[in-house]
Amino acid sequence: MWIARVGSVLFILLQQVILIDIGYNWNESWLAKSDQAELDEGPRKGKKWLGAIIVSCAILYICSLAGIIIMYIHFSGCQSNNAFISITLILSLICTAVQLTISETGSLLTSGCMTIYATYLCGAAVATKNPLPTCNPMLGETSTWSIVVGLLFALISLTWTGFSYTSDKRLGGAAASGNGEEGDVGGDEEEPTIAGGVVLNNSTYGTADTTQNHLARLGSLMQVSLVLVCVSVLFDLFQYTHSTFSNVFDLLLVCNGIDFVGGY
Amino acid sequence: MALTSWGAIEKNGDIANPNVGEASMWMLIVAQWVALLLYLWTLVAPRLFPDRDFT
Repeated sequence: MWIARVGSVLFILLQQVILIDIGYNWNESWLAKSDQAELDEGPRKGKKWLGAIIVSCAILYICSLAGIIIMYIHFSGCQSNNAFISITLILSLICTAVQLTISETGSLLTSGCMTIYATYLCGAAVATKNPLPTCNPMLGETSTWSIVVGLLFALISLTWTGFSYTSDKRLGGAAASGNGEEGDVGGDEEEPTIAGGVVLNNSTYGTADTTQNHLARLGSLMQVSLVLVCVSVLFDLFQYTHSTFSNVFDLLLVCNGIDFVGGY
Repeated sequence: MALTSWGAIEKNGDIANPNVGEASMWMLIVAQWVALLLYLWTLVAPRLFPDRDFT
């Protein structure tokens, strides 16, 4: 049982590192697109990508703020919930403040990603997991939203893992040079083709046949996802065989594997 | 792990709704703290160790 628990915790840590990586790379990818547009189409043409970054930041922060306000209204019945929501708010604010003042590497987009992720985790905890009826007015209801959002986060991180493992020249390699305002990413390199945050013209598959390139990438992507799901199912097998509560949900093992990656 | 409430389902008892429980709740909350602290670390680490290569 403890093998399953420890393994699953490691798994969650992996997923979080991947999410932070996505946050950094998203910003860098759009900054690079902005630079590229300036080079190709002339000055001030890159503004639309910078605007897209600002709009994304605004959406992320507005959604987080709305979530926190909704939680304060509906789930502030008891002390534990109050503490969780306040800690979410304070930690997110600290992260954003540190990023804006002290940090050289971060960007507001990355902070926004982490803030909305924190808000989702807090919401899932207080709205679907809290076992005390006084704290949780939604107790007993099936919460479709938390499963959907959880699977969405899992899907994003799985896709990203697949893509970044299959491209040999990772954007993540330039992570430290991404300065939120300067935006000199990709300028001094040999201008790799960037599509959706992923460097496409890698040497393994070549650049000539894009269809083949995509198929090969898709294959590796599915393989990585499959391995991840299999590993989590394996952890759950340990869990079932070693706990007193066994052989009841055997049919649900596979579901559990997928569900675990998504919603813990 | 979610379905078994992190192996604590026999303590919390409710097989019909194993998702609800202290263990699951604390997993989410601690996961949130760890995620934000990890991010904070990626922000301050380059400042604390300027000589180290973080690329």
